[in-house]
Amino acid sequence: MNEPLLQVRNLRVDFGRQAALRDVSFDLFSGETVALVGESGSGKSTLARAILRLVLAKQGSVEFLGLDLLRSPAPVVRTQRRNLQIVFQDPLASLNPRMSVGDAISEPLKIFEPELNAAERRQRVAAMLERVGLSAALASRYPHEFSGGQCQRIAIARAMVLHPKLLICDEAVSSLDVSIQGQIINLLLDLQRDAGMTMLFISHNLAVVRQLSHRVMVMYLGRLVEIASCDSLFAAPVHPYTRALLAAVPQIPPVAAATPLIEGSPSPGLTASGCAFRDRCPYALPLCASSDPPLTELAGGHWVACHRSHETLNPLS
Amino acid sequence: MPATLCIDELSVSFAHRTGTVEAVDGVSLRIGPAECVGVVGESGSGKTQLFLAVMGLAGNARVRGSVRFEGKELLGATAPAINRVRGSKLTMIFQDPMTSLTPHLRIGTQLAEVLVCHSGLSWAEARDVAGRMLERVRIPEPQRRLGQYPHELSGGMRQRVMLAMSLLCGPALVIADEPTTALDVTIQAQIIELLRAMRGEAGTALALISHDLAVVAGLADRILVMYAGRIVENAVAAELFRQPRHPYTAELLKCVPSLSGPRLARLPTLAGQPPQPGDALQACPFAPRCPRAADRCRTERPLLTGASTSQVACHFPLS
Amino acid sequence: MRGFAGDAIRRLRANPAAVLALGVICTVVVATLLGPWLNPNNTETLDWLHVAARPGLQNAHWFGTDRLGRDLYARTLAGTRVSIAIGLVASILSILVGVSYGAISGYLGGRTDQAMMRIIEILSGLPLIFFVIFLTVIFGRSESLLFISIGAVGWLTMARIVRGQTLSIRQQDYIAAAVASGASSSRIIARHVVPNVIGPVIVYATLTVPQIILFESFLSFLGLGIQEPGASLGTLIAEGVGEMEAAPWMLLVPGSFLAVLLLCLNIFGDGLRDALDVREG
Repeated sequence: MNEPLLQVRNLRVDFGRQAALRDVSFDLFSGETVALVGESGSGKSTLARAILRLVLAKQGSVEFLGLDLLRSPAPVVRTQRRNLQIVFQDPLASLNPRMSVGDAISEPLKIFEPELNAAERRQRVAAMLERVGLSAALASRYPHEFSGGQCQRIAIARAMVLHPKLLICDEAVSSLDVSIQGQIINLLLDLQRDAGMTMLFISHNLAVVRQLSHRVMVMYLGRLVEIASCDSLFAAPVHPYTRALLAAVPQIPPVAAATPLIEGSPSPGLTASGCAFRDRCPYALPLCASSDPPLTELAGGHWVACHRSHETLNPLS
Repeated sequence: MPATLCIDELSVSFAHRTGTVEAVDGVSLRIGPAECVGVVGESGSGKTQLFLAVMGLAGNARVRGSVRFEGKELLGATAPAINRVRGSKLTMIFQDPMTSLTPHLRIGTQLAEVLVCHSGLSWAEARDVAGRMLERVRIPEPQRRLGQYPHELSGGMRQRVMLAMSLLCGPALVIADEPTTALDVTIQAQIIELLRAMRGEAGTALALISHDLAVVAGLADRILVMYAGRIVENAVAAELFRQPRHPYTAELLKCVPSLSGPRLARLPTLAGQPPQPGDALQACPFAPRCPRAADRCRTERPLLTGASTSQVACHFPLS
Repeated sequence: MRGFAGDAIRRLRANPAAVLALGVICTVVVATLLGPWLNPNNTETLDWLHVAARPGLQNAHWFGTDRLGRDLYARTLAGTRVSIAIGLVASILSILVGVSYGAISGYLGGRTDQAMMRIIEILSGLPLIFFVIFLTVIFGRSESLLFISIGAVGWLTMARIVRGQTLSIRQQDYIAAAVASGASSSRIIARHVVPNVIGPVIVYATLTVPQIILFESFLSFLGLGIQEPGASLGTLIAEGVGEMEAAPWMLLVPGSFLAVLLLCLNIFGDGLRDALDVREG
């Protein structure tokens, strides 16, 4: 088993008095695509920003290529940023409206490869634009002249220009039209394959996640509740929340859900003690109110945070 | 049966610095009583502009054509005439529950206001009816909610309140514009379930606008597919998914990833991007991206032809 | 022309009032620079033959003369030149200092921001006139002092505006993307924050130039600014007020120059704000 590229241990982030991330721990290995799924309040975007040190973590550690990202001094962390990049949800908002597209893509080059002269930089920018499917002549244009899908390609070009080892995609295709989503996902898969890159793909769209990830992590109100290989998770989900989530996804043609729909919405107030899902869980026990189940390994690589994970829970019990 | 909503050759155009832009280009459709019609399309398809024009909310746009609701023409009608119908018999739910409710008024006030204006009830009676409607849309603790402000409710609950508001006067048609797009998957499933229940009970027609085919699949009897401001296909839902006739519909269905199909090394894609209002269009706007396009498609505009529940606007429809 | 400058210029061109205002401002500026060449009189010569003469074309005193026989045409143009110069220099000073201060304060946030804002609040609390008088007492009257004191106060509001804009920009994804790309704070402030706050800055600057000119006129009117034999619109107006009944042109000429200048700057400033604020489509 190779060394993990990214090791997150006991990460905790608070927003005021509310815990946005509680005790999150996981590993990412080189070359894999891991999906992070969850709904609002799950903390998945906060996790991405915490890893990148865009928000302050209260506790925990993030080790990337052997460097503790949270505790090392800022200039040291900055040198490692070339290997850790992010693509955001809103393509237009992630590009500086006053900077030409070429300048935006070349900025990482100016920071990390200052030895390049202007002509060499222009060449790298042109190559990157072509690689993401845009014409190199567009480098002098401004973001507002492009469509959402094109802006996302530009954002990807900017993230990839330094060939990072880890790319975090935070809902990168969620605001794009259906007919464009496939283009961008295929682009990401191509780039990943060519560069042997690791991808952390954050999404609420389970159908998309199923198509491109090796492993899936499910979050609920700031905690990881299930980690499994993609096949295992979709074929045989264990955690009641995962099962409810999969049952709730509308399908074509429509299917009657085997698991009844869960009611209500997440209650952040329950994160203080016990399992935060207990108010919506059809299988909750009194134990669930007093004790927050730890993430434990069931079979090889399949982790679940549920007191009843060893039982076979059928929809009617 | 007379149609609840009858739209004929509706066009909505805006002035743009490069000229006039057609957001909706000659759309005709019918929605019958208690029918649920899904309207799907991507950005730039004109699906939202179409129904904003129906509601008289098109702003600065120039609206041409005919919109008859329960037999009466809405376009060009006087403001009092439109206001009698809007909010009572013809209602709309918008996409963003965060901004659809007035932030500084309590929920009970906003709901009661509809009844006081349209049904002539007193404020006390109106609050009663509002409370019962909140129960019908399965909001927990309905009486408490009446006294709360919008920011105290979650997105899913706000959308239920919007639904309640739209049903208060027993409308003949509810237009729902992307009602679940801003909501989480599990909440979305609840709202879809609620809409399904509402349809059964009150016999209200529903126009469900969405970019998400799967959401529409669970609710609609009939589906209209829009592209570049025009309707390109109109079919019974089951037929549309089983055997789409317009190439755009077929390609779009291929692009929707599914939970149950095989896992693919590459996702199916549709080259190019959907045209935005203002883009130059060929006679058939889908021609540049269509795998079946021929010369005729670039020069001759395909018209929507066929029976009332099976129409397609294509020179070479799939069969 | 692409980019925001190109779009803004195009929108500005489509606004007839703003274009006209800009034209008038440019005409006035050109007149103040070239005007003296057209007329042989200068600002200081005392023409005893034509004391308090009416404006007219016959005697080369086109705008008349003042109580001392000095040509009003030359003096008005000179005065306008001084007023415009002060307005320009003070604006530039307040932009340079205000933008840097506000952007740094807004971007860094936290305790640094709090401290920097306290300083601004303290300085804002100082009564402006007393501040200028105080400086005048210490350093004596001089034109450069006038420039500095006006500019020194003008940057306060600019800094506040820029800080406010910076706070709202800071939450944008492209700032996060720049941080994630390894950019240092100074790079982010210079390349990402400042270019995106420039819009309101330019607009505010054009709208404060008239305020500054008015303030200088007021100071000079009170005797704190430009002194004899120098002229500014303020001093000319002050002299004109005294001669309002006997020689009204002494007030009307510099007064109308000031009024037209201020009006056009305000109209142009409004047009500029509309041109820079409107989003595409």
